[in-house]
Amino acid sequence: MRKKQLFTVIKQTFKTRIKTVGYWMLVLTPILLLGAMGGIGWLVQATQSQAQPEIGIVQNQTLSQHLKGDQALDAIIKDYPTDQAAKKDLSAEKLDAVLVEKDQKFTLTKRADGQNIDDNSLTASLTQFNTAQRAQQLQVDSKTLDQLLAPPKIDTHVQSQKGVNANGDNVNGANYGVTIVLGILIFTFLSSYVGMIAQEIANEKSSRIMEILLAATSPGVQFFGKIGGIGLLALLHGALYLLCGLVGAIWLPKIPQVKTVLDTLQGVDWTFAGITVAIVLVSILLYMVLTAIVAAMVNDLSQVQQAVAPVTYLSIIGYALTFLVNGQSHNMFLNIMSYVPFFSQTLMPARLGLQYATMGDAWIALGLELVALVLLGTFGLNVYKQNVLTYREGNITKSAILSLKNLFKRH
Amino acid sequence: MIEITELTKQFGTKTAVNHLNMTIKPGEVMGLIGQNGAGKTTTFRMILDFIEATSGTVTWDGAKIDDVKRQKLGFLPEERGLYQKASIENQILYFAELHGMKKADAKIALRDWMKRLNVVGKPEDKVQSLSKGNAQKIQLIATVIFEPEFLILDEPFSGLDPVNTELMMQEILNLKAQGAMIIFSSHDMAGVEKLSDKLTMLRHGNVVLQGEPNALREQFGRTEIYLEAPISDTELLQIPGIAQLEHAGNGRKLHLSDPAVGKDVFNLVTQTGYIPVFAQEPPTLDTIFRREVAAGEQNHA
Repeated sequence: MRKKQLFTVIKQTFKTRIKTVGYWMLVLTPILLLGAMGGIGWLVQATQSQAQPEIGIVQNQTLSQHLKGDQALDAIIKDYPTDQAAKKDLSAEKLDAVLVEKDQKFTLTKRADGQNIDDNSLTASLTQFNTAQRAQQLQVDSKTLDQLLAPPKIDTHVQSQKGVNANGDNVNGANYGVTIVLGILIFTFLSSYVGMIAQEIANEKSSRIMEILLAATSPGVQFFGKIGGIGLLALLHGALYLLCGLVGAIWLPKIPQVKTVLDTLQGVDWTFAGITVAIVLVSILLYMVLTAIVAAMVNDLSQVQQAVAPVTYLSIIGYALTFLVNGQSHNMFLNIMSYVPFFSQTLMPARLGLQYATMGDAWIALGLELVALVLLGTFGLNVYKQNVLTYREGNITKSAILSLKNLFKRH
Repeated sequence: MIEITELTKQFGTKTAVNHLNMTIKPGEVMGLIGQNGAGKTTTFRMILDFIEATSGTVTWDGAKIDDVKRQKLGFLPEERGLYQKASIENQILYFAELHGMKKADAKIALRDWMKRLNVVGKPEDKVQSLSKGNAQKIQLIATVIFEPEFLILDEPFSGLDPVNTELMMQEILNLKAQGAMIIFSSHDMAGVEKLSDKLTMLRHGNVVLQGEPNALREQFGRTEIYLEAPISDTELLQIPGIAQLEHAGNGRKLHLSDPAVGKDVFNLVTQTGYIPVFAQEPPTLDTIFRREVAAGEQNHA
């Protein structure tokens, strides 16, 4: 019968919330933002009046030929017999810049409202031109020059606890990149769903509906029912994003931004992805249980923010530490924290992605999370039961500390 | 049968309920009266297992109230609570489902109850659109729709107008007739007297009176007279044994120190012949309640 009641509470919580505008705003806002950003980008690109800049070269055929032959330089090169003729066209807005060379020194005169010239490409091209000129003076042929200028070819193999991994930097980069993006997603998910579960419980407690519910069911049914209902909403949220990702990958693979994401994901190690997803899911449950315990202390809805603030701060710590992991393979503090439940959801995947930790370490972190979840669920239920029908006056933080003191007492 | 044995609750050094004993049989209504803070709500919360009793037991047919029994228990809290933004139907069906009722049956029953209680509105209406009286009726429907075998009503008439109070009383009597065990608290003594088969009066957590309402009144003796007769107050007050005289409507109320004094009053007022009203009765529950409260305050001081 408890199972039936539990299912009823889960169903009611899920059905009630899924019909709210707030939930769909939460789901759709990031998609709409991405769409809007893409749309604006496309609009800017489609309507830009940028044409190729026109650069005038004064009395220097060699330089003119070199620049015309440089594919990287996106500009139209024009020859001028005199400096005056070039400057005249510049004033008449027929040119965007005039380039003059004297003793391998260059002077570029640009029009303030002219088309933009890519300085980096121009500098690189002129450096190349200077080098070629000097090589000619030193009677070095072009083949030898190419050999001298060819960059070294580096084939990267990473030796880690996981073994030797060819092309390791790419995989590590992809994994770490995914971790950072995941960190942002986890933080968004946690702060949204922590607030949602707190509001659910606080609403029922403050409006005294909880008394009617607890006359029919046990506190355990309410406690786990709420977590189940909100947890399902979070899963649906994740599944919808996955679906959007798949649709994007199938239908829009040629869009540059989508292509970049797909290229990055191709480097992801799927065993890494699997364990990361497991760690993240358990951590979301862990945070929900903690929030349910804290929300039961609230007397009315105005105290919700105050009550859940410490839970949000806790998630921020793990999130912020993730950015420090790169290059800190032997940092004892970060290594220890990556095993600690409530912080491991971002730290362990980050360390794993950078191959500072092994799959064994990840399994230990997942195991510790599961142990914490069982303990918090069991003892937290007692605290929830004590608080959910108790209306204390005064500071809620004091109530929280008082209740947490009783967390692991025998009941 | 509900049996409450030596039920005690202490909050620190304060005793909220002290060695409470009572039984409620099927088809029986128990009225719980007492001032605010007398221990009525604490008693309900212990029965519902919302708070743990310091000592004593609550049993239903000899066993603890478990999850199976809990589904047949209806509770109307003192502070009413409904999901304001949800529809009437949505929340009533949810509460009914939690009590093990099938959704389809609850849907039919809801329409029937709304008609019986004259609720102005449709099942699809949101609770926030209802008047206070109609919301109270919906709250009662949420408590009784699954036909509970044991019903706990904490101040069921508070905030209701006389018409709706009468309507709710009738429904409580209907549930009683169906065999439900009912315990309720109220400050409306007339209502308590009308509904209760037995009543318990609490003062500072202690039972000061318990039994059938009429028997309880009779144990104080017929010390109250309501009189409508052409005689002056001065003449009446000359009779020894009249403790107090007060004007009430068209007549006067006399409080006697001894029921036997009633005969002397009757003889005096009928000397000249016919009088419209002479009624000698035991004190009303309201009077007994006020006396006990006053006595309690004296003892407390």
